[in-house]
Amino acid sequence: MSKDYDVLCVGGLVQDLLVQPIPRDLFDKDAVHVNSMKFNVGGDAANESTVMAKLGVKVILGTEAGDDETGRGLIRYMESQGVDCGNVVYRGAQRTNIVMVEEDGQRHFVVLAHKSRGFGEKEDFDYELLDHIRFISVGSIHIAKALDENLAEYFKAAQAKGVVTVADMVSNKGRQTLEDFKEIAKYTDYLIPSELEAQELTGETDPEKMADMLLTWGPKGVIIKLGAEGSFIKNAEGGCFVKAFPVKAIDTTGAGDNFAAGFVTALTHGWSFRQYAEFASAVGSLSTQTIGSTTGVENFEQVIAFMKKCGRCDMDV
Amino acid sequence: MTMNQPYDIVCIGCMVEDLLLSDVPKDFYLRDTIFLQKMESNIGGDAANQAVISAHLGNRTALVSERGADGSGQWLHEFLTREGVDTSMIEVVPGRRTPTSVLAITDGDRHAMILPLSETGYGRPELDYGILDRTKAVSIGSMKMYPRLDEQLPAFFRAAREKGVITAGDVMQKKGPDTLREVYPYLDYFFPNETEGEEVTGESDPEKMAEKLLSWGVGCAVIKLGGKGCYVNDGREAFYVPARRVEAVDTTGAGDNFVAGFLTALVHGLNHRRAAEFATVVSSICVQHIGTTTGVKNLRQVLDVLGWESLAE
Repeated sequence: MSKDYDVLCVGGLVQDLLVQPIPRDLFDKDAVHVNSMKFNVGGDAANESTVMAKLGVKVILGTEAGDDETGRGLIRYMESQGVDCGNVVYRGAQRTNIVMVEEDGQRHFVVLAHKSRGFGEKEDFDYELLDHIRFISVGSIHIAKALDENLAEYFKAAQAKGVVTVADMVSNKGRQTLEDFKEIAKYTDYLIPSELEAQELTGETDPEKMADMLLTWGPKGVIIKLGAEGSFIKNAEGGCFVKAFPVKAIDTTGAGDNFAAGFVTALTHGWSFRQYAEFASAVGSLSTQTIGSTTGVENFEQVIAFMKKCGRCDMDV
Repeated sequence: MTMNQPYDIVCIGCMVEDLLLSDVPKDFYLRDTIFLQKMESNIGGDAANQAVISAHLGNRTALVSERGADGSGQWLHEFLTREGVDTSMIEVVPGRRTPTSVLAITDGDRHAMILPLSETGYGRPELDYGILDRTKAVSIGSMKMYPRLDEQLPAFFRAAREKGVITAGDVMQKKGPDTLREVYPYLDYFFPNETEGEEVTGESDPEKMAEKLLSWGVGCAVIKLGGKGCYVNDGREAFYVPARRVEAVDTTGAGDNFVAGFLTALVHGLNHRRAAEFATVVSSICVQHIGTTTGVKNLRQVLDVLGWESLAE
């Protein structure tokens, strides 16, 4: 592999198709006309990598796509968004979640019964790639069974090669033992849980106490997302709150993925820990300004201009 | 891609991504989440279906259509090429979304959720008359789908007639004034199903439907009657051909398969009765499989059912 990247982003890629309006007597008819049929591409790694690409990061995506026409189509779409898809694994049938929306807005999700183990089988991890990246960003611990099982080993190898490891996450819901999670945390440089997830893991209710405990498990920096309240960050030098940016949210879908994308983008610039969180916060807030997960953020300059307007840009840009 | 290829059949119309959902419960509206064992993406669109089946049956086939520069459009285009269809006349229209239909297939019946194509849909306002020097037959996948296309058909079909090219058209259900009266005098073969035929003629009896269509100038009216077979009237002969008894798993695309089969027989010089028999078998194989192009894979398959050596008269 001769190409070099800033970030390897691994995790999920999903496709939803929203169809509306669907009448209740659908099965009495041959065909009904709907007013809208909209494909939405999402998934933590898909969202993160798309936003990072917009922010000027050279990103390579590691994810699982269906080994069929739809899956390949989805990957071509990701490539058109500026994301290199060199670590994509084609496996199984591409899942599309159909969302049947009634006239009054009631939604019914039609999904495939069989759940995939997702990206993260031992053979999915590319060890050679570790020589060509500077950062790894994991979209979500606790979504893909395969990833939860095999991530610790990959992170360990990554850190040994000087690659900085970052992980976002979702609630455990009994999917993984605390021991297994701690094994991942041991090799994670930056952990980005939400308040609820941090509470579940540590049993603490105060963000600083949560951070303190998480820091003893291995990370050198912890960023606890507090939603509209912003975030609480802590590393060896100390902790502080970072306020959210003042925006009126229109659609918060994907805000967490945007925050993570912002954080990792900032890492590639080599600023200070607090500045990483400020930039992440700005990106997360901007993403809520439009409908859709990846439409709010346009480019790096937009974020900087926004931060300067709010008097919160002290980076040398 | 050379533009001088000779074709047997050129299909004109739409290409659609069909998302097939197997066994959706009829009371879907009572549930938050419905888990299915099977969901697959297949090609759809009358003209696209006809083109694939036509290619499978050994015809030199081209599809004139348009698609978006999106994932769906790209995979459909590549699929068509792999299935043996000449795709050089498919236009990629940036900014346009490739149409998608969602079909709930339950108990062998399909219930489609369709986003109607916009009225100004067909991106290629000018039909390429050059096609008529290079093909034996032109087939319009769905008349009444694109008004701007329908407007051009009388002149286009008249030119086709002058060059000895067979003109054929299927139609879709659409309420409103009949925009096809000017087309019928130049239409050699018209393939409505019972519902479409009734909408267009006001008659509920296939024999009366056909009579009316012939009186309007159609060369040969072929009324598709689903499980009841078909009724053919070409002004000299009129006859029914019964459907072949099979276990239907998915009836989607049966009509398109029928048309492709009928046209295949015609370009090989078969008479109308033999063409109807051939077409009937083609569509009967289609319904035994889920999807529109998954049943009929080659000509031999169809000939074996009929017990025919070949398509020579």
